[in-house]
Amino acid sequence: MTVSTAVADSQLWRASLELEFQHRRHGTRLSRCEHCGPLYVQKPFYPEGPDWAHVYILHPPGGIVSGDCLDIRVRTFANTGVLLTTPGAARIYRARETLPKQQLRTQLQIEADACLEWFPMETIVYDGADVDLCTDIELTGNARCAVWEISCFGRPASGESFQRGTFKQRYRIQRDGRPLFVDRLSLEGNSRQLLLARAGLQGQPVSGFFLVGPFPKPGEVELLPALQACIETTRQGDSGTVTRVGEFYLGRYLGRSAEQARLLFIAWWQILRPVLMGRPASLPRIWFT
Amino acid sequence: MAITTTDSALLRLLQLSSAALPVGGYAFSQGMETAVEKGWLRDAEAVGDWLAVQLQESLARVDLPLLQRALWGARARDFERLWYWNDYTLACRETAELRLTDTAMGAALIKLLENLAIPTPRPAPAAHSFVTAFAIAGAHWQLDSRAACHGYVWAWLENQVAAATKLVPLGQSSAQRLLGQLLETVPTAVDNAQRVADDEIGASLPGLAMASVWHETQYSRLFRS
Repeated sequence: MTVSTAVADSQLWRASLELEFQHRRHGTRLSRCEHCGPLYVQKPFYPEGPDWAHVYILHPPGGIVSGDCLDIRVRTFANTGVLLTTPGAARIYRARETLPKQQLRTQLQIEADACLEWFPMETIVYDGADVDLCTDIELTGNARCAVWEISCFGRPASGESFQRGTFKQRYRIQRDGRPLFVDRLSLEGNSRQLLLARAGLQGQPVSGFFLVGPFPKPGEVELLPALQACIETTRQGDSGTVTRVGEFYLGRYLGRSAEQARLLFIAWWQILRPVLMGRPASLPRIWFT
Repeated sequence: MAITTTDSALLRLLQLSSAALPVGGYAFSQGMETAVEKGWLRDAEAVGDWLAVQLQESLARVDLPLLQRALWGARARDFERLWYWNDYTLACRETAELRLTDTAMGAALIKLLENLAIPTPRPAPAAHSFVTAFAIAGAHWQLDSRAACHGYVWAWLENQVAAATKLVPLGQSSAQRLLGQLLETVPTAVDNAQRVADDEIGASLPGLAMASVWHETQYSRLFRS
């Protein structure tokens, strides 16, 4: 190893978490859990009975600084049901120019006959952050998923907007190696025009999307009116839309409040979960603490 | 950077990029009809911003890098790669309407190519993106990648400005002036597209996506959804 890579490595603060879930006689079980650095899980909760595990991913430092590199890998096997969430927002602090960028990678691998729900709390991107966020979801065969992603640019409550820094986010869902959904938001250089553009974020600090599927073709488009009705309760000045694209229902929120985004997504989830996963939505207790 | 082309390829590029190409592009406003109804696009300047952002942040990051890859796949007759990038293109379409726009135009162009006895790769995928169909035609007519990208952008831009002319509305001279201003930014968008790596292909335009979804249920409209 050369001196320069040794220095670069000493400035990286790596944390990783690797989880596997398998179907056992007693239901869905966390069959493998390896962590390195400050990323943990508590014991799974089973508020819906043994078939569906609720798991909280914890990052005790609570914030992500320059040099932090977080890596979450989850694999779920046949006949498992898993809901993953986090207890609080991921805070991406202002970067230090001389240090490596902030990185968060999430890889979810869902085998056939398995269901995974990935509902992290929002990501708060502080002014001056320099972050790469990458989520890769791989489905096999008839695997199903429900996911959301909520990003908050700056801290509107403190009057701080995202004036400087870079944000790169890639979100990809594939099935059997074929792309099903790709979303990439890149805010750096000239692309920062997206923050204010009408076609972009329209000056709103919070943007999120919610995705559930795949639904078998041609699918249940008749759910759209019920999903659209959920939007009516959204605060004035905030926007929500929902569409059926390919085999997924895709909802969006653009507005001022991560909590409003979450409430809208939960309302949609309550309608879609019974249809896709055959069970009513069961809200993780930690969302109410 | 300059495009070098043969005479016959230039003429085929004009044919492929013409508003008269019967692929139905004129029937779709791609969110613009709702954006106008919402009062977001009241004049040529606002339309210019709306389209410039899409050109730089969406076409240069999605359509053009994918058109290049589809051209490589079609020229090399590597259909596995071609269909992978076809899936990738459709996966980037954020709404039912934007996906329908892409696949309806793709289906129409494939049908036209078949009517012209131009071979299209078989077995065909469930749906062709317009990007894929454009690449199949481009490979057959031996268009240079950079020339094909300019033609693709031209077809999109001319269509969108024509929609704005009807919807905002804009005068004919004002529309041509706007088209001229936007054309100046096209070479840069094509340059940027050439630097996009496989892993970086993708975009997100929440405002456009929402306008497109609202259009799916807009009560009174001129354009298809």
